[in-house]
Amino acid sequence: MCKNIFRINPILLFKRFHSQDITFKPLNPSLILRASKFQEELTRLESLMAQNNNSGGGFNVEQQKKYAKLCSITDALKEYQANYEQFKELEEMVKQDPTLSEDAEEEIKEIYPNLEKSKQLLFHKLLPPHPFADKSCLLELRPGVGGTEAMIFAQDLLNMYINYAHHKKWAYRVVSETENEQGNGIVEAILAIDEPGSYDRMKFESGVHRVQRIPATETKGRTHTSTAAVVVLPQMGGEDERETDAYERTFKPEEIRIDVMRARGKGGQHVNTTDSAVRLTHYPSGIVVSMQDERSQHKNKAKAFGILRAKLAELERKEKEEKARKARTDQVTSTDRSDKIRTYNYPQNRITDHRCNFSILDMESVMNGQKFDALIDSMEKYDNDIKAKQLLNNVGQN
Amino acid sequence: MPRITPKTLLKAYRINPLLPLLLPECRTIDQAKIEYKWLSQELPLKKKNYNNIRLLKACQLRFRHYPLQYILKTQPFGNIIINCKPGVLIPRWETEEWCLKLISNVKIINDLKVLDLCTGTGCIPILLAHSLISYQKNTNFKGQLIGVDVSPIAIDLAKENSRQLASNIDGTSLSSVLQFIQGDILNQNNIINKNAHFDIITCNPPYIHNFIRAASVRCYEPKLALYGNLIFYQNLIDKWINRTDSFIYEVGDMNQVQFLYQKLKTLNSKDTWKVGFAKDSNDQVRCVYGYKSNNTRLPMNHIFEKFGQILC
Ligand SMILES: C[S@@+](CC[C@H](N)C(=O)[O-])C[C@H]1O[C@@H](n2cnc3c(N)ncnc32)[C@H](O)[C@@H]1O
Repeated sequence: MCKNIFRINPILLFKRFHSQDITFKPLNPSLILRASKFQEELTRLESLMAQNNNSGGGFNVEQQKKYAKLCSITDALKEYQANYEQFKELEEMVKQDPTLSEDAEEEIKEIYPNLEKSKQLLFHKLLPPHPFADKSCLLELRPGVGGTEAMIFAQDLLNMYINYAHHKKWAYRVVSETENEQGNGIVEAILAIDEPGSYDRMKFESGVHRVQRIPATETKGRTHTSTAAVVVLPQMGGEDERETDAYERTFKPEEIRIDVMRARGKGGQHVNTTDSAVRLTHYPSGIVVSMQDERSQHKNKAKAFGILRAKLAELERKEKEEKARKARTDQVTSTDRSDKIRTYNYPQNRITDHRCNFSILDMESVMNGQKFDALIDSMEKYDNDIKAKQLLNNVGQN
Repeated sequence: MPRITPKTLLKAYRINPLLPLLLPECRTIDQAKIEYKWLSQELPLKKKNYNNIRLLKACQLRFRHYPLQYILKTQPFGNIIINCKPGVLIPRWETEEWCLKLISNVKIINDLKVLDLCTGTGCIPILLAHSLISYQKNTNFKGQLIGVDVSPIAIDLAKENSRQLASNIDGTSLSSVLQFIQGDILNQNNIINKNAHFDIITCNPPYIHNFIRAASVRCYEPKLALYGNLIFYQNLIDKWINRTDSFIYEVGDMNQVQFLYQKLKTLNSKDTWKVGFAKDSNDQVRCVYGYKSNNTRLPMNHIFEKFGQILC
């Protein structure tokens, strides 16, 4: 019986295998459109330069630079299109002619890596990667409105991120965590994910998360709405002794104030306190970082400087982005807006991301990290679409 | 110090029945929670069902002001961990602070010679050794660090700490670099080889000469390590000043700084000394330091730049 099935359906089996194995997501059409506009521009520039040259005018440096840039994009586009055409032909072949399908499948496998590569190359030529794309990250969580329930929710989010890191087999540390008084939630926490590139994945988590559910503490069975805020920061350097030391020294004494939390009395041999808390105040930005989890004051200070560094880097990036956006006069995209980004609706077992209008109906699998990727994937796609559209709107401004 | 109110006690009890035991030392519920976390994380573990009893015992000890560092048997100092035990003073963060400040200015010197008097756990020369050796990975530190203490318990512990350091870093050369000697600097004369000359003498001498309020210090740390006054600063003038190019002594108050400053001003010697003092992060006068303004092997004015305030 078994044998029989095998004899009849080898192609079918193979096909199924194929369709699972190699599926290609072509580049966003608006990006292709944008790239071909660059191509047109290149043609224009070429004829302009030829004219100049004939009239003995020579090239100017600006034109040279632009020319080089347009060339590299156009080359990438051609490469990608050629690869993609070939891929489509082969796919067609598989469908049309079963006798050739095996060979075609083989060839698809062969060219597929090149296709992916040329797609990535073109993509990054058009949309440069995020400045912190290769960094590992810090996630800072705080409860928002909703009292104790918000603190419990902040704790739930922290657990969700830990579960996700676990699921991804990423190394993580809880850098600091302050429980609330009842011990059922958090007042503040910082989670470090020590995986290069994790910033790029987690960056969309920044913003206000909202929960709707009947709190465990609620006696009358009413649904409450509470919030928690998440800030994602890039880890800018190692915790390596030398590096933190060098970083500390980049600040002028009047820019920074370091407080140790032990004011009373003579100190020194008179007391053997265990309070090792450190607070940093950075005057130019107004950022304050407190750290108290370690028994070592020295370590608390090093950690605090690490967080200050991450915050300053993120601040600087945002300012730059803001400036660039003003220069381009485009609108604030919903990705950048700092209001409510996501709702966790427990009674309906649903999580909705309000930026990309994506919903998923499986609270548990998201919270335990297994399906969390679905949320990020849809945000990533959304973000790329937006950026591609912006590129189109700004044709001619480069 | 404000009394802990019954209300606070009750609140702490509701969070964790052991927390009230930690309140007298920690003062606030937040700090008590942090300390409880450290206790439950770091208490040397034994059999599983034993641990709750050990935790309870530890909290009871804390209630009687027994130092946390003696319970956990360690104290972080810079980026190393120093073993602690009853009979030897627990290293203080103020000492750690000036020690790190010193290290940042001498870490590149690969033949530095330091004598640490009243060394206790050995924390000062051990942190120096650790930092210099790991900073100078490629050039191989070949200086000399010596610690002296009158207490045999302290010397034993310092040696134990330095063995632990040796196992942490590639410790092949450590024993030739770092050395501990038992001796009474006030009453003995030939503790250190007559011809040895040092770049820096460091010392955190017993400097308390009035009542100690903190019970955890008064009742549990060794009196020998705490009570003293001008005698150790006088000892520097009498015995060591000609054998070093510079010194850093910890102090408890400005009087001790002034005393040493006056002595050095009237010192009958061919060298002239620059003397200064430094405050700690809690704005208390914490060190007196000095260096010869000429005839030194190392650029002392550079090493002590920004260390504190020069007196004149
Ligand atoms: C304040 S403790 C300093 C310990 C260590 N250097 C530190 O900073 O943690 C003072 C030390 O001086 C030692 N000491 C007291 N009298 C001494 C003496 N006459 N000669 C040598 N050491 C002495 C004590 O045993 C004690 O370990």
